[in-house]
Amino acid sequence: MSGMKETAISEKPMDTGQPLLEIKNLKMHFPIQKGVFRRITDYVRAVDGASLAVKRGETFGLVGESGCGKTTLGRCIMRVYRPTAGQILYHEDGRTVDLCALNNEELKPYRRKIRMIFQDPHGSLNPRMTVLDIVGDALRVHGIASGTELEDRVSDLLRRVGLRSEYLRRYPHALSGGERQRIGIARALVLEPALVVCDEPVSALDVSVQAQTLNLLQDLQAEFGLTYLFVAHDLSVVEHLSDRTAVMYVGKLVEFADTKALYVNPRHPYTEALLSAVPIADPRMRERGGRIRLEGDVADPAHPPTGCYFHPRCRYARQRCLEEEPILRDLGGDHGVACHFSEEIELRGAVMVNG
Amino acid sequence: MRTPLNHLVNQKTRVSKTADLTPPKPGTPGAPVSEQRVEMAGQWQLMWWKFRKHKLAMIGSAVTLLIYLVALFVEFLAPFPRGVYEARYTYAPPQALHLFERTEQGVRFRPFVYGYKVTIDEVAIRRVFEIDTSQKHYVGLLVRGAPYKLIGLFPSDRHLFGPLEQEAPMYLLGADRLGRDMLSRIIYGTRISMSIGLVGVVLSLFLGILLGGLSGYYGGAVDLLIQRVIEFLRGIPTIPLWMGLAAAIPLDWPPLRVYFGITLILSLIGWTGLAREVRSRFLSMRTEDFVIAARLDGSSEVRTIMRYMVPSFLSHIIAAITLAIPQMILSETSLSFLGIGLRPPVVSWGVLLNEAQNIRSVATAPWLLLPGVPIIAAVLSLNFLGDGLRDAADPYGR
Amino acid sequence: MNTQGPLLEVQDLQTHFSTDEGVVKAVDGVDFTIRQGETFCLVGESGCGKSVTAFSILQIVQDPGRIVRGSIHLRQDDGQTLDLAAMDPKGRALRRIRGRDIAMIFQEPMTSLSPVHTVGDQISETLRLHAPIDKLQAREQTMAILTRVGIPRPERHFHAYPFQLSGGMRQRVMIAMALICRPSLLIADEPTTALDVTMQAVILDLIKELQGEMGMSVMLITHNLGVVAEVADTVAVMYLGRIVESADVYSLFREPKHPYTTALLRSIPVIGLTKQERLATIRGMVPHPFNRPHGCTFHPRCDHFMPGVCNRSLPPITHLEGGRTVRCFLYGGADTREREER
Repeated sequence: MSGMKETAISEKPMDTGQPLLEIKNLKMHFPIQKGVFRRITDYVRAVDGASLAVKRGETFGLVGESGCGKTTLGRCIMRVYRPTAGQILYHEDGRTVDLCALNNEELKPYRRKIRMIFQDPHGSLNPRMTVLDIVGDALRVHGIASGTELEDRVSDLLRRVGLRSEYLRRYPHALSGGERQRIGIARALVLEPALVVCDEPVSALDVSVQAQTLNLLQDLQAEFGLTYLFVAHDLSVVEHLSDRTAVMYVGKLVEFADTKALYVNPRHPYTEALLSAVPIADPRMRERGGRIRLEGDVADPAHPPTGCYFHPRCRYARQRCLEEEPILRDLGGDHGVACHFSEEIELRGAVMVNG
Repeated sequence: MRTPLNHLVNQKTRVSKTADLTPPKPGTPGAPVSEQRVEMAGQWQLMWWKFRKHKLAMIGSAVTLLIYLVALFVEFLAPFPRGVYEARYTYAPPQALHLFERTEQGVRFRPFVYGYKVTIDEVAIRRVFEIDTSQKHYVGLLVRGAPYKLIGLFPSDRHLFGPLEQEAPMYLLGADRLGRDMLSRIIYGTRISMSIGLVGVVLSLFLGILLGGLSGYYGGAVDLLIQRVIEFLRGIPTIPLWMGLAAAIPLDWPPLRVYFGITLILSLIGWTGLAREVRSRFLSMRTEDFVIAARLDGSSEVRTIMRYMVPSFLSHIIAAITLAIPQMILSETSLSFLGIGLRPPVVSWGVLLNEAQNIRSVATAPWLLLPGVPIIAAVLSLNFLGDGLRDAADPYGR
Repeated sequence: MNTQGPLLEVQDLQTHFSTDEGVVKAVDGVDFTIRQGETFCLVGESGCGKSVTAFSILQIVQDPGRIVRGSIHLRQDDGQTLDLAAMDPKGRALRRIRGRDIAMIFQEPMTSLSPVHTVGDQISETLRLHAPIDKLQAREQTMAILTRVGIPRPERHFHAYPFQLSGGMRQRVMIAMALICRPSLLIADEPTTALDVTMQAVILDLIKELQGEMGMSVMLITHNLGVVAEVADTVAVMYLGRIVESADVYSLFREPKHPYTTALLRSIPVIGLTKQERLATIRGMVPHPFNRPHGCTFHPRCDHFMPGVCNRSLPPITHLEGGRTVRCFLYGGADTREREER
C-alpha cells in the first residue's frame, strides 16, 4: 500500500542557531464554573509555567502521563486556546513574533507555518467532506490554489503520504484508521509548514499501522525539512523519533535533554520512575528488579501540592521540596531539570535491550 | 455486563462501516462495486441507506406524504365544498359505498349508495334515518361538482368522486348537525391542521436557531439570559398560557388572521426545545477536532460555522423539526377542541372535534369523532418518520 | 511458575456474528489450554477476536454473536470438568461459574462498576451471591480484600462511589471485586490500556502478586507486547479470529516462528534498540472481516508468501518441539498433492 521507498533517511537539516519556536513561562488556566450563574470558583492549571525551545529541523518529543498538560501545551502553540500568560515566540527569517499577542486575523499567516496532526483519526476528519475538501480546504482559505490546481496539489500530496489519487473523491467514513491518519498528515502538510505539532499521532493506531505511520513521519520530515513537536505518552515511540525530549508533570516541564541523555541518564526522579515503568518487550529482562513503584496519584491540577508538584510521590523528597518550587535550570550540555537535588541523587536510566 | 463489551462494540462498528451501509448484495458481500459506492457516498446517501432500514419510518414517511398530498388537493378530493349544508340530512349516519351492482345482466362495477328514508321520532323530536334500498344514487369518478380553483390557481369543477346527480345525498362518513358531509370536512381539515404544524415549526425553527445559535455561539451572559428565559417559558403550564394568549385574540379577526395568531402562540412556546437542541449541538461541535482543524486551516468564524458546523447538525435539526410538527398539530387540536383556538367557519380537525364535545352528539352521532382518526394517523406517522430521521441523522456512528 | 494440570481447555471454538449483510467469523476455530497457576496471554491487534474469545468463555458475547462450535472445558476444584460452551448462557449453572470460578476485569472500570452503588456494597454483594455468609462477614472480607489491593483507608473508601475514585483506584476496586470469591481463573481484558504507564506497572505487579498468593490462573488479553513480555508464561498470538502461534514466552520472543509474530515483534519501537533506524512494517492493513482472504488469512501481508500454497488452503496447526504450535505452511502441512498438480 505504501508508496514510500524503503530507503535510509538522509541527514536531517540541523541548524543549531536560533530556535524555531520558543515558549517562555506559558500558562493556560481553565476556569472551573459552578452554580446557576457560573461563578468561577477555581482554575485548572493545565499548563502552569512551561518553557521550552524547539530547534529548526529537529523532532522535539514531549512526554508525560495523561492530564500533565502536554496536549494543552500543543494546542496553545496552535492557538486553539488563548494562553493565560507567557510567550510563544516564533522565529522566522530573523524576525520574532509572539503568537500569544496576535488576534485571529493576525494569526492567519502563522497558521500556514505551524500545523497540527491530531490524535483521533476519526474525530479530526469531517465525515461530511471528501478527502479532497478535507485536505484542500486550507489551500482554498489561504487563496493559494483552487479548481484543478488544487486537485493536482492534493493528489500529489496524497501520493507522498502513500495514498492513491482515487482517495480524492472518497469520504473518510469507509477508510481505516491508518488511512485516515495519513489524510490527517496530508492536511497538516498541504500548506508547506515549517513546524508540525504532532499530538499523539500514532496512539490510536494498531501496532503494525503505527510503525508505518512513524516511518512516514520520518520520511516526510526528511523530504520537506520539517520540524516536529511530537507529543506522546509512549516513551518508546518518543525515544525512537525524537532528537530531544522533554518530560512534563502537572503542567510543568520537569526535565529536558538530548533524547539519548535523557533516557540513559535522567536527572529528575519523575523521569526515572517513568522510564522504569515502561514494559520491555523482552522476557529476559523481566528479572531486572529495581522497578520504581510510584505511590498515589498524579496531582490534581486544580489543587497542586506546595513546593515541587512531584514531592508527594518522590522517594527522594526532603523538606525543601515541600516548601520551595524548583525552577527549570540548565545542568550544562543542554540538559535542563527542575529538581533541587539533581546533583546529589543517583538515578537510573532506561534498561537498554541489546540485540 | 453490557457496557464492558466496548471492544466488541468497536469491532462491530468497524464492520458496520461498510457492512451496514452497503445495500445487500447477494453472493459477494463487500464486492468491489459496492465497496466503491460506500466510499464515495456522501452524508445524505448514507442517511438514506440507514433510514431505509427503518421499516416503521418508511411507512410513516409514506403516510405523511399521502396526508400532505391530501392537504394540497383538498378541493379536488373532497366531494363537496366545506360549507354546503342540507337541513334534511342533519346527523345522517354514514352510508356504505357499494361498488358492484347486481342486475339481470349479472354483477358489474357501478358504485352507488342507497338513499335515506327519513321519519320523525315524535317523542325524541329528531329525525330517524333508515337506509332505503329502493333508492340508488350512483357515484362516479371525476364528476362535475362545485367549481373551485386547484391550489388556488387552476379553475376546475371536477371532483375525484361524487354523486352523479348533484342533489343526491352522499354521506360516506355521515353528516354533522347542519347536514354537512363529514368526509369532505375531514379532508378540508387536513389542510389547516397539517399546515399549522408546518408554519408553526418554521416560526419556532427561526426563533430556535436564532436564539439557540446566539446562546451557543456567544456563551457567557447572553447564554445565561436565554437559558433562563427558556427555563421560565418551559416552567409555565402550557394550557393556561395558551388560554390566556388565545383569549387575547379579538373575536372579530378574520379567520386567516386568527390562524396566524394561533400559530404564533404555539411557536412562542415551541421554539424552546429547538433552541436547546441547536445550542447543545453548537457547544459540542465547537470542541470537535474537525472543527478545530478547520479553524487551524485559517477558516474564519462564519465560514467554519457555515461549512463545517451547520452541515453537521442540519440533519439533527431536521429530525427535531419532524418530531416537533406532531406536537404543533396536537396543540392546535387541543386549543380548537377547547374552543379557544380556531373557530368555525375555519375547518380543522380540532374544530371538527369541538362539535363532538357534548355527550348527546356522541351518543346519537358517534361518527362525529372520526376526525380523531386522521389526527392519530398523522401524529403517529410523523413521529415514526422523525424517529427514523433521528436514528439516521448521524450515519457515521462512531 | 507452578504450572500443573490444565485448568481450561478450549477446543475449536467458533463464535460468529450474523448480521444482515453476512456472517462475521470473529473467532474461527481457536484452541488453547490454560494450566493451573499460569499466566496465559492472548495477543493481537484490534478486531482479531481476542476479546470475543474471552467473552465466549463466560458466554457473555453480545448479540448477534453466538458460539457456533467448539468446547470450553473447565476443571473444577473437585476434579470434575464442565463444558461451558454447552451450558445455557442465561442458566443458573453458568451464573454460578461467573464470578466464583472465573472472574473478569475490563479495560475501563467505570463502565463495569455500578455508578449508583458504593464500592463496598458492590464487592460484598458479589461475595454474598456466591457464598452463604451474613452481611457482617461479607463486610469484613470486603475490607480485607480492599486493603490487600492497596486501597488506602478502606473503611472510608468502602462507602465511596466509583466516580469518586481515580482511574488506578477503580481498577484496584475491579480487581478486588473479581478476586473476592477466589476464582481459579481471572480473565483480564486489556486491564491497563486505559492507564498511564506508571499505574500500569503497579496494576500488573498487583495482579502478579495476588496470583501468587491465591494460586489462580490469569488469562491476559492485550495488544501490548511489552506487557506480554513482562507477565506472560504462555502466549498465543491471534490474527483474524485464529491463533497463528502459541509458545512459552521466552521461546516466542527469542525465536518467533509465524511470519506475523516476527513482523509484529520487529515493528514495535524498543528503547535503546531502534534509534535512528526505520521500523520494520507489515505492509497493508488488517482486512475487512467480510473480505477475509482465502487460505492463510495473513498471506496478502506475508513476506514468505508462497503462491499456490498459502492462498489455497488454511494451514493446519503444526506442533513443534517444546509444546509450541504454529499455523503456517513454512513448518509443514502444505498439501503436497495440490502442489504437484501445479
